[in-house]
Amino acid sequence: MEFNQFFVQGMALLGAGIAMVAGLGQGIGQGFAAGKGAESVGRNPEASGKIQSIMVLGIALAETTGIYSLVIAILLIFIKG
Amino acid sequence: MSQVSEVVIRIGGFKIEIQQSIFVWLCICVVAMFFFYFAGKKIEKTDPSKAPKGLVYVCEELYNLILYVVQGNLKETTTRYIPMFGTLILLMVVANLTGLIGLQNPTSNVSFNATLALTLWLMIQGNAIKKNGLKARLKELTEPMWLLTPLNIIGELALPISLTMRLFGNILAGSIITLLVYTLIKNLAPWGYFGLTLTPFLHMYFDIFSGVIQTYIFFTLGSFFLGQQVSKEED
Repeated sequence: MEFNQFFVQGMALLGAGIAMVAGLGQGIGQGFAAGKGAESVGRNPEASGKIQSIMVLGIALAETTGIYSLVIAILLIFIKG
Repeated sequence: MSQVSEVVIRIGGFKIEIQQSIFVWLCICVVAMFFFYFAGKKIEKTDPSKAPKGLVYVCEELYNLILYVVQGNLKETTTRYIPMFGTLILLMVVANLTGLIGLQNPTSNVSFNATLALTLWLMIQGNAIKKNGLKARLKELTEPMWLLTPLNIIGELALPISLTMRLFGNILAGSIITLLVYTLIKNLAPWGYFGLTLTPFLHMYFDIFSGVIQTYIFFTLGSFFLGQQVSKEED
């Protein structure tokens, strides 16, 4: 019985770690958006303010998937861990 | 969760226990109520031909801020929905910034976020039905073909969940990281006190930047979906 409890706890913490692998895609997406933003500022420096606000919005939207995994990881840690 | 702390209110024999985040939220509501009441009284008295000063000027700038967030999406219908969006935007910005004075953010409690997202979602659906009629709204769900109806319904239901989780995750992660750094500083004292040079930057990023950006995104998305339904024919 005790073994089972510790098994569940360990597996939950492991699952929390694995859930955060979703940060991979998020990082790639955000880096891509930022790179394109820098590129377009280089091409058209007058529009840098507009580009910046659109880029920040896009980056924060791309963050969503990473945030979902973070929520799952936090729930696993605090409820099962 | 481990970090939930409770506030106990005793009035005579009554004892009410509420979570700190909800208590902070109620306090913000009361403060906002008085602020808007007095600001409204003052604005009524001011002379519109002169340049605004003091509180009136602050209110004007707040109004411009809200217009900046929602005007691009709502277009002609902006003035109709601005009371709703204005109230929610100001409430949420203040709620996100309470982390700066050492209180728990109301937005790190999932019920606050879910309330806001559900309010927004109900408003979007209600206004869409009011504008286009129930039949047209239901017909829209079967487009482009009837087989996709379940997917369309899931897509509609995903909006409040994604709004809630995005805000909740961001703010909660920020507050947990700040809390961890403070715990580390306390555990490593006296050398740990050098860590206090780092914490202003954490607050800058997680409380100010992240909080304001998340508010902006929340209401940009909300007004985008509302604008799609409401100002469709003007396009």
